[in-house]
Amino acid sequence: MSFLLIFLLPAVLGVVFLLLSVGVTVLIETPVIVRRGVTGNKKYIRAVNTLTNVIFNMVLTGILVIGGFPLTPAAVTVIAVAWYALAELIAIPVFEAYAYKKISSLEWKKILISTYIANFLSCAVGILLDGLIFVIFFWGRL
Amino acid sequence: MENYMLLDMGLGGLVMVAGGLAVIAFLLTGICLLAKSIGVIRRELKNEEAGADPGNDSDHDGKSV
Repeated sequence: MSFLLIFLLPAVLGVVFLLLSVGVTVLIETPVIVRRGVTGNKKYIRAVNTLTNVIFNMVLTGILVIGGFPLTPAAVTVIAVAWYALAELIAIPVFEAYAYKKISSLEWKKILISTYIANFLSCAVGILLDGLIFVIFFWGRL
Repeated sequence: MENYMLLDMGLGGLVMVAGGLAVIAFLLTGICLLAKSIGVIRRELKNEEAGADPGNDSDHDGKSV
């Protein structure tokens, strides 16, 4: 029984973490994109946000696991902040704006502003949640 | 003293195995979600192109030139 738990539980946690991350992102960004008039196609919005969020998380995991960096709290913080800044300030909003432009009749500038607003909101919530996890796991070891 | 393998691995080994499994499950889930979302994006773009009428002239008011 403990054998199963040791092997099953981590796998389940890995899956749950990613699904939660994608779910929270879609929950926050969809209403912003719809209300700002970019597009009303919720399936498309969900798919675009799932794509960017999964790539974001997979790259971050890849950097931390394969990158060979020491997994100290300080190193993890620096890597996470650098990746967040690069992804959330440049890559994700621009890519999402490009994706929405293919389906929207709104002008490029308005779409870009909308994706920045949506991403800043989801990024803020993501940072709060990550910070909470960080505190729970690393409290007392800093 | 039943699980000799677990005892032999030690706590560090257990953490490595657990962490590795979590990462593998995470990455496999990510690949499935990626494939699904790319499929949805392509389908919705095709629907959008099919829905748009290439011959539709927005300035056309029914009068012949």
